[in-house]
Amino acid sequence: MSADARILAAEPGCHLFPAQGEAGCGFEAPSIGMFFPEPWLGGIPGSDGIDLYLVLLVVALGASLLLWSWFSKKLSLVPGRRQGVGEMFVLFIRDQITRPTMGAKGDKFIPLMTAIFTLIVFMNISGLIPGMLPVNSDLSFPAMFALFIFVLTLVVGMRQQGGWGYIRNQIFPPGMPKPIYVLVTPIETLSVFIIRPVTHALRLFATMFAGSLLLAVFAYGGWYMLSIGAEPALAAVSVLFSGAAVIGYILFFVFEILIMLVQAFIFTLLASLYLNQSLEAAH
Amino acid sequence: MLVELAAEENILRIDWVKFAFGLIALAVVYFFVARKAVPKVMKVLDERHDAIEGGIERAQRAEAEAEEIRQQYREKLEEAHREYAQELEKAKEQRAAIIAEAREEAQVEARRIVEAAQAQIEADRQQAFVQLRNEIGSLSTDLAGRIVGETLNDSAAQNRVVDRFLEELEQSESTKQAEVR
Amino acid sequence: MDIAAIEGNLNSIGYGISVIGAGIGVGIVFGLGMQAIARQPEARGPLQTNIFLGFALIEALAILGFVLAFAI
Repeated sequence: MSADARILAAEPGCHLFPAQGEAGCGFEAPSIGMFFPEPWLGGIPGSDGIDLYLVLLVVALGASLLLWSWFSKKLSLVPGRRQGVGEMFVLFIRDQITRPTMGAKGDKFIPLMTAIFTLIVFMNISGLIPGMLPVNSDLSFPAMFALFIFVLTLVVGMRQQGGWGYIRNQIFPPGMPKPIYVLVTPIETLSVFIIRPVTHALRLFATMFAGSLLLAVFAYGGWYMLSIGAEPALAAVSVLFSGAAVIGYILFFVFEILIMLVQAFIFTLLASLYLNQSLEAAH
Repeated sequence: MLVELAAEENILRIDWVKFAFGLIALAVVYFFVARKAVPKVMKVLDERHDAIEGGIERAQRAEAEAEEIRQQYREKLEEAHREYAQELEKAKEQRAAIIAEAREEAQVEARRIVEAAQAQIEADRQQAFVQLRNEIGSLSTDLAGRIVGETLNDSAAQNRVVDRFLEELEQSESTKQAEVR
Repeated sequence: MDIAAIEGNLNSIGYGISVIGAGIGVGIVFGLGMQAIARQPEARGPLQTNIFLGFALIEALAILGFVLAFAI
């Protein structure tokens, strides 16, 4: 189950109805602690060290590379099933993400968006493996993506519109009466240079964090309520409770798959939207 | 940024080691996808696009060719029809000519036959006339001899003589005919 | 067990309250966006772009609430 196995291992005997002859103990919900796995190699200043997240990151990286080498292997004019899916993937990135936001001049960002989308999907999906966490439930990784996109928008914008031209277009949106700028400029400055990159990172992080915490609560609650060691009547009731928790777990598991894909899509779409504002002078 | 290294278990803390590893992972995936995967897929997509466009062009060309061949065929067919009509016309004329010729020949032949028949009839008539004249002469002399041989007093006797003569004549005629039969 | 006593983090309640507005806003953005696309399907591209811009801006508020729930 998605609840961290180590948490379960830490409290093996605590159930809703105490076993005969034992004192009961309270339910301890999975806490933020599950997002701080024990590092295997600690001691790096200002860092958690090498832990589960980095292993999962390497797995996600390998999966992305494998997927794309599989999609781009032995391509022919008449596509098979595998090639058809790969082409659909690229066309999805083009027709759903870059074309609607940036138009034809955004075609040069298709590889970047494909890479970001693929990597984010795999980094999210890792949370579906029982006992593992979504890589993006550590803020470092979404922040990396968002900061990368932010720097990219700055670089592209300044290259396209000139250093001051880009900033002017962003904080003084053209086509407004002069007095409005008193109101608009602070908001736009705050929005473009602080809120946008921060929320871009936090949106992905928060959904992954909350989703895996939710799954952990259901899994851990199901385990907590399953008290087979208790009196027979109570044990039967506890199995019912536990079954309800498992059903909830399965439903949210499916829901979580959807959320993971949608968040990856939204992240990529917003990245390409922000890039578009750098490409286009006036909006 | 919201970096709070002080708090031990703060989820809003950015771990720069993880950040760096994440960036490396993104770079690796980006270079792989941008160098190898996406351009290859795009190339195949473009090639297919070209192939389909080329296929359409080829199909159009083939259609035009087929249309041309059909046109030629149609022209040839019309020509054949025209030739056939001409031949038919000619044949009709020939037939008419042949019929007219045959009819003329037949008329000439018929006329010739009729003429020959008339000539024959004329000749027979002449012959009969000559023969008759001879016989009438001898018969007349014979009759005259009989009349003279009898007494030519009364007309009754004369009549009787004539009648008898004619009877004999008839009898001799019939016997002659019987002989002929 | 004393029901009236509240244990745990009050910040979570604050986050819940902060999300109400953002939830309504995101609902309005996507609802009206769908309506706009339904009325003018040919303008789908720019509409979609603006829908997601507005969505990002509104959800920023909810995310600020999330941040404050953990940061303070």
